[in-house]
Amino acid sequence: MALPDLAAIESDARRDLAAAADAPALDDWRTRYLGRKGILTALLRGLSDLPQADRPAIGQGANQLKRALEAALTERQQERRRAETEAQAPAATSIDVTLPARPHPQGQLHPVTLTRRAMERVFREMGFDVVEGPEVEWDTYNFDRLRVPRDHPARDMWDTIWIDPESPEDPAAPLAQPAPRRLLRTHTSPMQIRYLEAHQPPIRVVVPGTCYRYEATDAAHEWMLTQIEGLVIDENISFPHLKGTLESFVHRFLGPGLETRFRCDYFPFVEPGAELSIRWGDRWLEMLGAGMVHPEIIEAAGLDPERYTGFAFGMGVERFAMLRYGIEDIRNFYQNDLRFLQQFRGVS
Amino acid sequence: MKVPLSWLADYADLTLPVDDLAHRLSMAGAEVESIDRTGGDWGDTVCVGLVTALEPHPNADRLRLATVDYGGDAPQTVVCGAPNVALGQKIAFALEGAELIDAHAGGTRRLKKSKIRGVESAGMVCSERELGLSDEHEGILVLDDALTVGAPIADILGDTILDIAPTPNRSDHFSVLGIAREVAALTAQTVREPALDYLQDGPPIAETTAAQANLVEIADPDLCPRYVATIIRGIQVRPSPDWLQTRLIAAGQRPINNVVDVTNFVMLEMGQPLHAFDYDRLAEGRIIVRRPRPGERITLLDGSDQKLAPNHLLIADANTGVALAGVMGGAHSEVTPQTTNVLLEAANFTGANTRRTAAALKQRTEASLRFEKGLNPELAAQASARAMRLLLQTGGGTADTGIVDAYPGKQPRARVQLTAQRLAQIAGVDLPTETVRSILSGLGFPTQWKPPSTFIAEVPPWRTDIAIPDDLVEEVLRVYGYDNLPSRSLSGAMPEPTIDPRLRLRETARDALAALGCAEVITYSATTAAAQNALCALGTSRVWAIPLLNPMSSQHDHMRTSLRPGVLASYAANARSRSRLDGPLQLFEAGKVFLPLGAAPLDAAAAPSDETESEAAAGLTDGGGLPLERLELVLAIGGAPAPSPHDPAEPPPLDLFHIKALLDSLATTLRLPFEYAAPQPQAPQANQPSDPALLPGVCAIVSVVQGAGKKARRTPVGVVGQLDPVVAQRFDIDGPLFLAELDIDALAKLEPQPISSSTLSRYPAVTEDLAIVVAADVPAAHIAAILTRNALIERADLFDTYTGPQVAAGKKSLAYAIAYRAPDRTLTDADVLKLRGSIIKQLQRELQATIREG
Repeated sequence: MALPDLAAIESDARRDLAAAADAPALDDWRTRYLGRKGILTALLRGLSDLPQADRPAIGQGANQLKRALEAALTERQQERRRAETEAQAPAATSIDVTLPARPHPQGQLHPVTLTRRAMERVFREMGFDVVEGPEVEWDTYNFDRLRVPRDHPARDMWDTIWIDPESPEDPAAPLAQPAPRRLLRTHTSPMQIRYLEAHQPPIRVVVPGTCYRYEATDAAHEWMLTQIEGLVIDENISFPHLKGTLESFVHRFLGPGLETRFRCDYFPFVEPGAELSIRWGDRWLEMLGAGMVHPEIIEAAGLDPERYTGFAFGMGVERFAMLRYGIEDIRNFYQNDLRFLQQFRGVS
Repeated sequence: MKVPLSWLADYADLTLPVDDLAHRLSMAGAEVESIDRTGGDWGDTVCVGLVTALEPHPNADRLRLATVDYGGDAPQTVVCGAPNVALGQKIAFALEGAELIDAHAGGTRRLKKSKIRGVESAGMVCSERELGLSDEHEGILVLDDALTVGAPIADILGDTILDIAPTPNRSDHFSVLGIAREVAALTAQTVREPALDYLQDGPPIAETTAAQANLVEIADPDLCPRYVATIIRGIQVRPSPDWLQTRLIAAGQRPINNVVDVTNFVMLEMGQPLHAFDYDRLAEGRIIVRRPRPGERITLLDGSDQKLAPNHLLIADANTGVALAGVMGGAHSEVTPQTTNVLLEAANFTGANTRRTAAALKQRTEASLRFEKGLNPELAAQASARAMRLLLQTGGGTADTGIVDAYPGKQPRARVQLTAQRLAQIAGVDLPTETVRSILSGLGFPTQWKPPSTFIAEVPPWRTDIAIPDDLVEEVLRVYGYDNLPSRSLSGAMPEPTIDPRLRLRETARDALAALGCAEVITYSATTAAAQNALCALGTSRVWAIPLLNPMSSQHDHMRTSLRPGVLASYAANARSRSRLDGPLQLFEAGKVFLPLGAAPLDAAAAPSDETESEAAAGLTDGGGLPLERLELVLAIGGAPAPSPHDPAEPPPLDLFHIKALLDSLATTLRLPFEYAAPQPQAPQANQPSDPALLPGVCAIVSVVQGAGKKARRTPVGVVGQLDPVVAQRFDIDGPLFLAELDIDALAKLEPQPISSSTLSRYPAVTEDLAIVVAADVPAAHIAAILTRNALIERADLFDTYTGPQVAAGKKSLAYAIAYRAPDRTLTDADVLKLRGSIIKQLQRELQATIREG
């Protein structure tokens, strides 16, 4: 038997493949060359009839040819499908990808929510608990138990929106403790007292929340504002911990390497008291009040002030948001103009 | 508190440049809010001049021509109208271009060359007023002969004023001397105390009057710990000398006459308010410190007539009130140019009472601001002596010998002990004993070291804020410098975190809605009663809101009981600035509402229109406790999707099923499945809509379903529906708006569906479509409930609803794609036939349903 001419088979097959114009023709071609009764199958089956010496070479060649033809078929089929698609829908193959997307509503969180969360996150990373508290408060919590009794000059530090009127003075006991009055809390500090009523050291907590001031509104002042209060009480807490914690917060929230400084300030519920400023460009900006928890506050919580010490701080969320995002007018926050709010899409 | 450096320098050497000094003061607690420089505008344009020639003006009798050598290339000749100008005087000479005060026009004016009565004049010989030093303008300012011609006046007359904002605990910082003490302590200088001695060559001061009554009687010592009275006779009341006027002006006070000016000067200098009475106008020449009698009134120096309350404090003579203690003097005994005999009051009044009186009468004066901070009674006698010295110096006269000193509230001088251990415990570092002692001594606390570890500090009388060891710790650390302390990280045990499901759910819901394309708003927590009532399409609100006593505005005078007014107002405001190209408007707020506890609901039918009247009429009380602060969520959507170039048709506007889709997505996120049901008419008022703001026919109660079958529990958590157009119009909203309200507190109490994975069936599903015909008012949810309670029905999806000729009148057809699948076998045709039969039977029995064939 003559040796099969693989080169001739290949050239015939490729010629026929190129000529196959449609799916049925391709199918016929596959049957003729690669099918169960096709030329190459027959050839491989007939290997045993060949001389022993020629078998490996022919067998190997035939197998290679089979794979090559299979690959050629696949390629030809893909070409054909592409050609068919183009023929059917010419536009679909050349879409203007710069056309706008189908409209899909985009939402966003309010910048106060975003900023408050980002601030909270930093404190959580430092091991702080996070709780919230009531916005309508007793004056006893908002003032008296924070060492700001009635008629104390420090009450001027917080202009107050009241709910209950001042009770008329008892002429028999003019300086007696009056009935408690409700107010809109002027700061989150009453939560220091409330948290201490329910928790034992180690205490490490921040309290975000809405506060209210009887204050005329302008670019830098709003009568409704959001604060974050902090309280840490444990054994061996000292002023350097106050500094380290707040510096770390500022660096994590606004940027590492930011210059900070602490000056003496007065809040009736801390001693010593402090204020933190940061260098912002060529200015020093006052950012938050802080101090070591006054020993009378610790004692009133039923703790031994000689054993337990701590620090407290309070800061405005809007103020930090204004700095972080370059917001120039605090009134933007609660006007809720979407054109303002949408600037915070995707920010976290 | 305005502190001129020139004044400050009287008591302490200023060794630092002013910016450094201000910085040190601020860092130590006396915040310098601004540094103002008078004369700062002058620059080199106003300098010392010498009048070298003086000629009459050729065209005016009152004017003269002065030739002035000012150190320039050649002397200038200028027109001068001042009567006191004289040859050889050193004067302040302003060159062309100088910025001077223009008293006629107000503000400043740049000096220009001009012709005065035909004579050209370029410069000017200045008065005090033109330089802004005082109101004096009758004559020019004549300077000291020793000054160098050509020297800038700014260096000689200019001043720098520190504007300091004292903290409320530091009464001593409301005085120049107090700031000087601070400066001295911070720069290691010694304070020069003001001179307190004065000549007492009059007769001994009479302790009792002719009527044998005490000259000073304190009837209410609880409000007046000390009253020092001195008397000066034959004093001349006249304008104060220049130095005194200059000081007061620089500190922001207007000079009046020497007697009043001296009391003001000493108050600014030492922090002790004083008052001078015309002694001859005090009935029986007596002072009685007492509470007012019922109905008593007083006319104050500012002319105001004040009705007094029993807790105020009066300074009275034998008959009537002559001053409101610690606040302001009375008009009757005011010192006038005719006064010759003066009684000087240097008293101490308690802070709380002075503060309350001043606040109640809206008379917060320089005096009351100082008393309310708490002054030490010791200061009164010192200030009295200081003022007497200055009164004699400025007005002459003779001082009675001695003082009358009623001093019921004398306290021993306080000592505070601080251990080195406590200092280290707060400071976090050990400070050398000598450092601590020198800081305390420098601040005026004579301090002893008692081994092994105690500092004993004597509190100086001006420091009323120091009571406990930690107060001394602050003193040490603020002078040592907070910035010189190290920084440390927290270590040690961390607290157990609080898990608050309400806050967690609030944040999850915010994230979910933002991701679904909704914008979060945060609106004010206070609104109006009117906005509350506007939410009711009919009648008035049945919810009572807490009114605010002193709201910021009438727009925010009640605490909100609903988030709806705020969200609707935001919606309306944003809708105005949007176009159809912006797509739908989807807003939400998650926040607190404030519900009074124990409040009686307002009877809508009986309520008169006026809110306040109705509260009174109903005898309403909110129980007086703190309100329930409930977390709620309100979502409002409306408008239509933005048109797209890919879809030729205009998209239809949003409807109820869009907002339901948002709620269902939220429910999936929360793993709390929502169920919607039309509100049941409430007996006895059958037509009362369950939500007064929503259209009764387009409104559903939202409940969370937990469990399945008979054990299923339904918890109402909110409402969804279309805003009643009546309400929408009140909020200025056009077009349909769909609103959902959820009670976050209620949601947070529910257990989210646990995630539990089940094995997927390996067997094929059999699917078929079933068209079910029921009465038109049967809710689709009832059919779905029957279909899905069968364990072998994997899903039943409604894909079509139909009413029309193909079904009987009053009926509707709902077509479901049903998938049957068993977990453990392939369902046969017989199985499916049996299942279908069973479902159909159930539908027939429970809903009178039929199956539409074909």
